[in-house]
Amino acid sequence: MKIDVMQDVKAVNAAYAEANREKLKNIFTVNIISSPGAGKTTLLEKLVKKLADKVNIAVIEGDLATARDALRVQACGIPAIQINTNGGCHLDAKMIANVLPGFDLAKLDLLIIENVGNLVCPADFDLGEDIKIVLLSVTEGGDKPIKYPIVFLKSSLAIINKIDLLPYCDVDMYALRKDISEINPKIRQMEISCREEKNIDEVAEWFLSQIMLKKQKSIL
Amino acid sequence: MHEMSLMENALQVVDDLMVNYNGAKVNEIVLKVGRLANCIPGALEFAFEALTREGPYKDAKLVIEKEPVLLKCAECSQVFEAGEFPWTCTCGSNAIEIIGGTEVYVANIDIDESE
Repeated sequence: MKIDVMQDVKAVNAAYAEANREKLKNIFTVNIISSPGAGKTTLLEKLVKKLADKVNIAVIEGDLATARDALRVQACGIPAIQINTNGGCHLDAKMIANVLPGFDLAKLDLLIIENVGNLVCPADFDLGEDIKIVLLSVTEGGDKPIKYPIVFLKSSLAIINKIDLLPYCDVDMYALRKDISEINPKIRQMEISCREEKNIDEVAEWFLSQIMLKKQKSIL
Repeated sequence: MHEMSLMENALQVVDDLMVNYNGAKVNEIVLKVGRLANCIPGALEFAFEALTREGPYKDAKLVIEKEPVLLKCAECSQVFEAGEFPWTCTCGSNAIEIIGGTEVYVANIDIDESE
């Protein structure tokens, strides 16, 4: 006997994501995705320094193992919770739901979720965030957007890191940016160097404006 | 690498349904997998095999049907199937919205009802 089912396998994650979104309705929430080593945690450290006296921030760190990243963020004076996926290649909405009670949400303006280092799977799992940010470092090579288009398609901001190393990399920045905007014409692009603290102000300003927008939306 | 967890969710969908068919045996599960779902059929089959060594799925067959990526042009509202990047509409616009091809669905199952 054949039975028609037509049920979404990802519905479980989607339900958790919507519940998270409701809990985070007054907090600007971003999901940062990159390859391992692109500089997600370093960017957070630099960013938090610029933002900590203006807004209340919390961080969720996703890694296969260790609490190293959460400890790095906590050292900046920011509440951070580490999720270890024990081999899992991405964070899912249920993992986020499990750790949200660990924060005083009523006091927060900004929640940054640093996903597991991976340009593939994290793009597929809605965590309940407002937007996804994709971080790419020039040392990874300029062909990554074309090879991993989905994460660029689903992100609102692409940050290109390690531009201080451009002289040592065969990356054509013009072609790289063109590839990104061809995949996603609406994406905003920024070039930074965490090491030289270049253009971190631009990223910080963008975060502040997005936090303001979210607050206006939640009042309406 | 997340095919295993997706397959677990897919079997959960079937489990929930099978509660209504006490003791029935599952012959076939048809999954519809969008081409943008980031799922490799081989990895899904491997996960299926590993997760169905026993129980009502022991002899079940997995059928994977690939679904095309459907795009809609924000300028002229035309719906079309995606080719290679960059995605552009025949009207020249690259303001494109994905309307299908990211999903993983349990489409239907075939069961033997017990006596």
